[in-house]
Amino acid sequence: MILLRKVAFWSWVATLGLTTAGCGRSDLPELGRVQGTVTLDGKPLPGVAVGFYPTSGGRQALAITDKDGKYELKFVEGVSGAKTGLNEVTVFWPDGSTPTAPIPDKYNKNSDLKFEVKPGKNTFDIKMESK
Amino acid sequence: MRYRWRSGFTLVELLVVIAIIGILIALLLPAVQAAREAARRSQCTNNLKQLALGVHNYADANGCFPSGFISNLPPPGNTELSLWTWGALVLPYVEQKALQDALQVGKLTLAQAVATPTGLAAAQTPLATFACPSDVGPPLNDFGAKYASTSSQFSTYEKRVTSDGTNRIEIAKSNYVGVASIGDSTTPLMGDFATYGPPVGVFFWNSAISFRDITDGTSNTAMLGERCYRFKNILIGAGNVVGCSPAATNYSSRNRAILSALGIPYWGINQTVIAWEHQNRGFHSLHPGGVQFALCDGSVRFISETIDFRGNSLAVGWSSANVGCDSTFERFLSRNDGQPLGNF
Repeated sequence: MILLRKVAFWSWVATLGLTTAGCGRSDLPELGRVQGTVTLDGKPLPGVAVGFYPTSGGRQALAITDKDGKYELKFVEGVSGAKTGLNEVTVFWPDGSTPTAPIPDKYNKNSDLKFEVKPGKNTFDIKMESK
Repeated sequence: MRYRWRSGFTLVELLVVIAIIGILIALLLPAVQAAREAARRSQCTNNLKQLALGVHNYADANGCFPSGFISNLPPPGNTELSLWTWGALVLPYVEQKALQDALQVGKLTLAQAVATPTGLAAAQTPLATFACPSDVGPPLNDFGAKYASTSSQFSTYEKRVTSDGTNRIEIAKSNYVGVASIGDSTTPLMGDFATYGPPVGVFFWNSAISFRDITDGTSNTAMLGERCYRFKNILIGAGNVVGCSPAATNYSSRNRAILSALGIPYWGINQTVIAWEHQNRGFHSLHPGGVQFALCDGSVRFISETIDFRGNSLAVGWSSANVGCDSTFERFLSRNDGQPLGNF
């Protein structure tokens, strides 16, 4: 009797384990969650796109800032974060948006902005200056 | 203590048996669903293969790939109501000669064709070769009729076809679009080569790309890609089989209806972050983890959505979109970037 109960218990544990294992995606690189605030001359910039491109190659992670200028990067649909390692960062106005202020080239076309994304949680505030 | 043997099961034994059966079913069910998706994907691979072979046969007969779409006049200032796209041109090469005859491709414009009963019936014939089995969209593309009227952003991507300039006719849906160029802009593929240079894909405005124009090599260059009707909660709108109608009479780069037959990477495979209303420029599919592409050599490959990709906004004065070609996915889509593709 006790043996049967043990068998039943461990079977459930195994099922739970297998089900959870089956839900994970195996084709993703190591990711770190990235969030922060985008400001231009100290003021939060809403509706602007932020792109993180890993210098080691990989998919570009993207986000759009909310009304407070906050962003959280999305890697693919349903998965947030960016590839770990050094990332080149660009800030640009996405199609269909109404730019409220021009973004200087040094933050998009000729961006020299780079962040080191680590596993776990990262906060990168992007403080831009129009000069 | 006297032990009394009774035949039958105790309640606990019964529960254990049920639990074990439950576990086995729980293990089996996802496998069945995955097998179904694998079958759909393989059907989709076959569709792309057939279309790629159709394009090859067209190229053998005519000396070049079919045009992305055919337009009489150089932009801007075009008043054409409806345009034939590459799908209408390859019909005889995917065993649909009768359909092409009914549409009278080349004799009539698409607007004139859908004004006739036989032409309308032909344009509304769903073709299995052009439909991905995983796609959830209807057989006739209702994107324009259902959604374009709700948003001005959608209306520039109308999938409807018109015969008189005002009516909306739903025609057969296609889940496969020709690779037109790289970057985020539709301007080059609309025939405006002056602003950002000529397109670098194989299908665009009156294009006539032959094998010698694919200088990167046919096995390194994409020809056709997938686009689904709805990706997660974003309406993409898929494409049309035989043609499309420019949304406005003013035929300019703002006119994106041609995206019902062509595709560009935009901001990446299965992308959902940037400008959701513009996602029907890009490549999306419901196959988990990526999108299938037919290559110019006729092979079909599954491209993971995690492929090396860096989106680019085209800049005025570029000689071509290849100036911004700096990632594997872009090198795969461009026919003449001149860079080694590598493994992916």
